[in-house]
Amino acid sequence: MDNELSALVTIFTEFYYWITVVLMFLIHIGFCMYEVGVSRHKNHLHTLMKNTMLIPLVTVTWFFFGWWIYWAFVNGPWIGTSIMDGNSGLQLGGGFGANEFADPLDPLMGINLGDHISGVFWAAFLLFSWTAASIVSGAVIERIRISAFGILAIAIGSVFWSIDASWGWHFDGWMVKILGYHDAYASGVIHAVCGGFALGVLAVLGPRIGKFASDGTPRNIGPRNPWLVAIGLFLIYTGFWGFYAACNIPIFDLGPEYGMEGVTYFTATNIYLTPTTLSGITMNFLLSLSGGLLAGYWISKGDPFWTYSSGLAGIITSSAGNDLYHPLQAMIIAAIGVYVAYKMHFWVERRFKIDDAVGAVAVHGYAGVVGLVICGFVLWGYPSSGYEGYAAINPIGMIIGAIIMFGVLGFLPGWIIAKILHSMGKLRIPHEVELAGMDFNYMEASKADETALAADEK
Amino acid sequence: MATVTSWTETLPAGETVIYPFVGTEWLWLLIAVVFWLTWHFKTSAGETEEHNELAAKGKGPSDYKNNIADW
Repeated sequence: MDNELSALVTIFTEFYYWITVVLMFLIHIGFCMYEVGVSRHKNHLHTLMKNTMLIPLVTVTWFFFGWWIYWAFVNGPWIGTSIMDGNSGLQLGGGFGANEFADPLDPLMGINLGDHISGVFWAAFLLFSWTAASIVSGAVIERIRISAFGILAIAIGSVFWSIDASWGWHFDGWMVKILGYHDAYASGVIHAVCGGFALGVLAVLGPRIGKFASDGTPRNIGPRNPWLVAIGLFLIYTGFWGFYAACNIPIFDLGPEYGMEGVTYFTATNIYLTPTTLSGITMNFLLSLSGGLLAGYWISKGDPFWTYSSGLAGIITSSAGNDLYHPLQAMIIAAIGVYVAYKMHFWVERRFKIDDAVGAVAVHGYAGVVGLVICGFVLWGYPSSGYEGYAAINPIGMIIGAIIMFGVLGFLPGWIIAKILHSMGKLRIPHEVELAGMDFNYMEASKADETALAADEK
Repeated sequence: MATVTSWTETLPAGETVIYPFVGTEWLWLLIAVVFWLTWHFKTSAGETEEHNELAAKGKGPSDYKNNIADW
């Protein structure tokens, strides 16, 4: 940085992403509060620790290999042709394993006076990874072993979401080039994939004891603490502002990037380096939230749990195209997504005996898939990129993209890994422990301490 | 072994890497990976032990209510 203007742009961008990381931290706090609020008294502490420990597990593995995967697999490998060569802004050499600045041994993966962006960009992606694992965490509460969940969290947080982002959430991703895949605020690359992954795990894990009556009728194991659930979901909403901001690049000159001779065009862009505005997406975010809340309150007949979750599902449904939608389009699309997600949740629960404790598969998975499909129709014909040779956004490409996200990179790996853990007897806690409650020993010791203290005080 | 011993010499020279022991990243990575993998094995074994102990108590679904502390 040898002049004030370039220094200002660089430091602003560095600080911008840093702020998004702080805001996204609130998503995780919200998920923790939400999960504990939904769990029963006898499982509170283990539920909290399960979600908390994904933070270090996903973080260290994101450093070891997650970030490297994002940059290494943009072409599949062996599916597309990279545009990352000496002529592009990011001269990575192209191809499989070519990215030096995501190599944990490279000096760029540390404090480096020549690079103010990589670390905060790495961290912003990491916070997406936490969210990915946390989505799965809620669905499986009260019966999964924490050690098994740790492995599943690493799989979705540092491997499979990273692969899907490399394919479909990268300016050089093969899904963008070949399919015209567009997913600006991650309906698919975070939400659909994690919903699918959670469903795959749940199919193997099975329901909590007592969730289904002997005739198969599902029972409601309601939130233990509705206030914690409400605050948790409000915090997730708040953190989503950071999530949206982190999906943008705040200042970028598209003129030289797109090879437009003599054109200077500074703008905010999405992850694909196509233009949008933070101002516009702010309206879309709020209208999506509103559409989701309105639809959720209506369809659930005012159930607080589903109304709050529907606000989130609304945002998730509209997110794929919220860089371009009109705010009222965002609102209507959000409402449609909530309707489908709500109906699907109860149909799948009855039909397949799936016990999704927090509705994560519905709110993230089904809403995300609906968002991708609708985006393919509403944005049909828009360029997926400013670079030459990319497919335009289209319904077929987006439907294939939804299948890849929910099914291929979500459900399938979740089901396979859960099957392996199950075959080793490492997936589910013992029946007796589930009945007694995972916190029984903690609670017993705490009660003994209290009794002893009370005796002394007399 | 400080990587930087004088800012007035380092900055004009264009040196950008300033953390200590530059060139030994592979060693730190090796230690970190071993620590990470060991953590998985140890905590998984501890969890199994905890579950076995609790399962042996044979507690029912409402027994935890006797242990709800007032503080």
